[in-house]
Amino acid sequence: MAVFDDLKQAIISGNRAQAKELTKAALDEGIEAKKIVVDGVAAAMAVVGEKFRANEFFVPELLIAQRAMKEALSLMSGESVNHIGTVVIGTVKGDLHDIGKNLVAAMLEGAGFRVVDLGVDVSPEKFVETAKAESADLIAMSALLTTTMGSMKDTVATLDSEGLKGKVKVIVGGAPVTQSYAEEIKADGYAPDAASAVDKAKTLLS
Amino acid sequence: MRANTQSNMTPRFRVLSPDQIEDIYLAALEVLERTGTRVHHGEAVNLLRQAGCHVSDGNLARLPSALVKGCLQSTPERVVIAGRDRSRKLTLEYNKVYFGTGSDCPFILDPYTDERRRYTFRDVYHAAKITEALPHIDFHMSLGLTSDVPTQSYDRHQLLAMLQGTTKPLVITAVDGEGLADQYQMACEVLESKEEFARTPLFVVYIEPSSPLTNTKEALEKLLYAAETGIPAIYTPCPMCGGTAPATLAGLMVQCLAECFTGLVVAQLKRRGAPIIIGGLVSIMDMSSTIMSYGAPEMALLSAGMTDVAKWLRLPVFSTGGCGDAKVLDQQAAIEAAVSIAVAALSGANLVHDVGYLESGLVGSYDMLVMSDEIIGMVKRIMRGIVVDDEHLAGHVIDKVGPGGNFLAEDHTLAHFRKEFWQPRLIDRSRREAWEAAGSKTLGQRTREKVIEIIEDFEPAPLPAEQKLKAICARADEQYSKGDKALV
Amino acid sequence: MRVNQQVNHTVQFHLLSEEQLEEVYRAALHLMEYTGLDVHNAEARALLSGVGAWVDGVRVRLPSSVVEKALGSAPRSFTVFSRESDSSKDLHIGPGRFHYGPGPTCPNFMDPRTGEVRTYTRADARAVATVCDALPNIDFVESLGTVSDVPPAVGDVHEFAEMIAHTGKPIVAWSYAMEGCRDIHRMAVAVAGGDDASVRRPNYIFYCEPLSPLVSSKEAMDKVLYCAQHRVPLIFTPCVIGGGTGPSTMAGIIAQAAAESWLGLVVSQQLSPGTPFCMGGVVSCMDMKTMTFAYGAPELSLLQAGLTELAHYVGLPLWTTGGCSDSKVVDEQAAIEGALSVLFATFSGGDLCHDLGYVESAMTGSLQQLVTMDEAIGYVKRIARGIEVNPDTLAVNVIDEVGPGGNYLTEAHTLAHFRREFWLPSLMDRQRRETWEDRGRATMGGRAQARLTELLASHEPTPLPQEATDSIERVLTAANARAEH
Repeated sequence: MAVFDDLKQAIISGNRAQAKELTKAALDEGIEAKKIVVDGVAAAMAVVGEKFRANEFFVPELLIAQRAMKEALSLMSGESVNHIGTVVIGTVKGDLHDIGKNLVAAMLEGAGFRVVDLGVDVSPEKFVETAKAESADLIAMSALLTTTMGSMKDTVATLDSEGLKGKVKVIVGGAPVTQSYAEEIKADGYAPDAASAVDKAKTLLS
Repeated sequence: MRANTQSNMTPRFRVLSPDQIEDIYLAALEVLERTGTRVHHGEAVNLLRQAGCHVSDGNLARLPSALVKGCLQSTPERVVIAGRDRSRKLTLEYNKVYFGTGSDCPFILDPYTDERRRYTFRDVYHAAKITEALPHIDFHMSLGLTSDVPTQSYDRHQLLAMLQGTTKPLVITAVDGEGLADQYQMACEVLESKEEFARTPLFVVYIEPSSPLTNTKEALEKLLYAAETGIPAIYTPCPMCGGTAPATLAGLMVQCLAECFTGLVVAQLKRRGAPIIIGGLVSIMDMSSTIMSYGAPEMALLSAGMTDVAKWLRLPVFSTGGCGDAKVLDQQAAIEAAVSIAVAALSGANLVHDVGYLESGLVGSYDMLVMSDEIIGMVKRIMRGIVVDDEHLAGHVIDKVGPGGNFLAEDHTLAHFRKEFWQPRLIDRSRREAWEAAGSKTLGQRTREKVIEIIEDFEPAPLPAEQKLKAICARADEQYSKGDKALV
Repeated sequence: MRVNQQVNHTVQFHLLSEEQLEEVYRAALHLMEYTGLDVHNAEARALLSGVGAWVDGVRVRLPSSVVEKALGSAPRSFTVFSRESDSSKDLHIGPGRFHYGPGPTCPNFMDPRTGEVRTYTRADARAVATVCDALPNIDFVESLGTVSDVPPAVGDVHEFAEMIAHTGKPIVAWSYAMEGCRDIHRMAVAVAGGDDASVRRPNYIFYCEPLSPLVSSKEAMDKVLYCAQHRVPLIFTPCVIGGGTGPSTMAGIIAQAAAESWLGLVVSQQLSPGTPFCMGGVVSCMDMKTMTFAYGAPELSLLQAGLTELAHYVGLPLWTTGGCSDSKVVDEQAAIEGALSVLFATFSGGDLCHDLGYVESAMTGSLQQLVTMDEAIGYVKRIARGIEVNPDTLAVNVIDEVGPGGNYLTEAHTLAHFRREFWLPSLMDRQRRETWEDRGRATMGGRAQARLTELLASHEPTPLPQEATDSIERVLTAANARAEH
């Protein structure tokens, strides 16, 4: 359908305003929200993914496409837009580095997760409280300094003491973090970068 | 004797014209005045406020240009440091170039097994030994992050390992103000007096604000302590184009300079004349892998650009080279190291750090360090330039030898070749038969052999006061790392 | 509006001051005037005598005014044209422009598939030309070998025939003897479409060499005379081995090289004023332990930069050297040595930088090294391009918008600029370790080999028109027949 071609193009080129406009137009015309999501939005993001893999698109193009996608989805009601899951994400206590965490958050959203971003310097208590309040499926934690990494362990312990271990999964990342560290602190997963974080999150929630 | 001659004693290189530097400098002042910077430390905020800065939202400080200018005036243009070997001084001043390692890489590639694993105290000690044994490495940073000691006091142990391994001057990191204070105490024990440290500091402290335009509590704590105590401080960010800084190289430089200036101003307000070194680890975000690229040509270019600015400001400068994104020592690592070392030398930066970094700063590589030492030797020969005078033009020798002759047995050749020609140690120029007879080794293999040789056979000078230093480490463990498990 | 601005559009690199260059220049003139050179060619000697040189037997001394006149008539800029209509492959030589290519006549060749070091065949000449045609940073073509599967006397002619059929980039040719020189010219003229076309729009460059120190052989001079006569752009390029065939001091090596090269200049300009001429050449030190000519030495970078500056000082383009190594294999040493010499050739603006792909001190030609150096050129060019400083790139408004603690990932400014500001690697790997492991843990050597294999398999150079092919065939037949006698 022509309207989907234009919508797809708007998302692929990262044109937020146009994506929103075209989505509204489609809804006004009576087209089912689900159809718009599958044939318009998801189809566009598949093209974006392909272009990224082929080194035609880079991270900035990926991110603005995701932003346009978010605009489009914001117009459609909850039931027709199924989130894969809810993720609470943040940089651990004592640490202010967030560029990596921001990338992961953006990619998770782009992949269809609902993301609650707590920012930086987040205490274990805050992670767990928010996870409870938002019925989160996953807590994602980032650390750049070895002196702050220990906080990840505390978060897992707090989750456990609240009886949420297993119900809320934990994934960790950041330069000094490794697979074996994740295993040591009994996190559910580790990812070295944003793209694999998304894959890991999907696997954990499946 | 010639009249009216001007010679280049070395090659001359610059990235930016004076007008371009002005543009960047004035834009940095604008950013500090208009946008401001976050200052997460009460004392620092007060100092700034009292000096005339506008502070809003509790900790957003805007700095007037006149304040920055005044602080630039009082910051020393030269800093002299020396390690345990007090005779080898490094003078950080205009166009004097020194090379050194980088700090705190989480992982090592084991020199015996090639396994990628976390750094231990012993590994950090070996790294220091390697620096000590290499002729072209002038200063030392830990290279590895000591992981088999308590986490919250690891920096004291790390300093001990470095001091055991090398007598060269150090650039250290610190967990926080307390960590810096403990390490300062350790250094004064080694030098046996605070006056000796004050006169010629044993180490410089490396402090990193967060880009964009954010100064953490720990960073400012360390800065204030350093300023008060007379410890020279590198206060430099790690911005990356497109991520934590503008995607344009000039824009990154503007932001980076503003970030350095914030630390410089706070330090001067704490103690006028406190030694500050500006610069940064300046590069791009690779837009495919999202890493901060240590091997990108933009890294070398930005570093040289920042050096141009620092020289124009008459401030000592912290730069980068001898590092890369390669995962192992291969041709990519070789190109990344060679080009970045050459450009850093050409730019005239004072402390060129991160020699030995692989995998975008995740691996501190002994191989990369030793190979880079050889490269530095080559680059130094180029930086010595070409001497032009009658003796070196050798007209009389060429005339004597004449068309069709040869120069091998000439006195002139004998008199000059050792100085004119760089002598390779790891670089191989033998004929194929000889090379094959010696085992057909690549440079990588010869480098690894050298690494093992240093680890096994090289003995650094013993460290006096070792017991006192260990006691300080133990005290810190007790105070800050109680119940804390090491990473390894 | 800012006024009174002076910006660096590229990085600025200077080795020698004006006065140092003047001193080296005078020293070279002094050598030519008072020491003189041995010219083993009667025709050339007669020519030089006619223009004011003093001739004693084979020894020729040239007053500096004679040399200065020749320097004045040689052009600083000229163009060598691609045989294709694609003008992006034309070679524009002039101030500020620099180009790269491989080198010729290596005794051995590294097999492009297996890495084995072996002899070189006609098929290899075809492969080298094809790869050069495909590589984005290679501008001109030389063979990286010596054809051995044809009668030895005509290896040069066959090499040229194979290469010209498989690349649209200009070839820098050489020959053993005059017959080869003439044959190559015949072929080039056929491709150009006639003698007149060849003079007005030359499509190849010819290079030949004096012998250090200060000697020109009969053949070398014959070739210079021939090229001048036919206005073929000419490179007369010395190869001075410091401490062996030249003094061990850098400045003396440069002065001697200049004197040797300018002998060819004077002869060519005297015969045919305005013939395009490139000064050369290959200058380095003798390694005093192994007695090899050190192609990978830092002194090579230094000397080439000095020679480049001298050439530009006197108004000539320079045939310079880089991307080469003393390593026996294409390893980290080959990468370091190649990258450093490419870096300094680029910074000093050496007009035509050759010998990329040379390893084992020029004993072996390697496409693997060439492919690696192609990447190094891209890398170095990004640095040479420098930093653009203007209100847009200073980005003060963007910094203000993003603010302390923000990020630039989705800024329109980032999207607008990152592709131009950042060099995109083709062979260098920046993936995280896990991804690198998943993808097979390839080193750069592995990736370079894969690229080479792919180029050889997929690149299709533009074929020659049938007429040209037929003419070339005729030249080859005649050459083979000649070789049989």
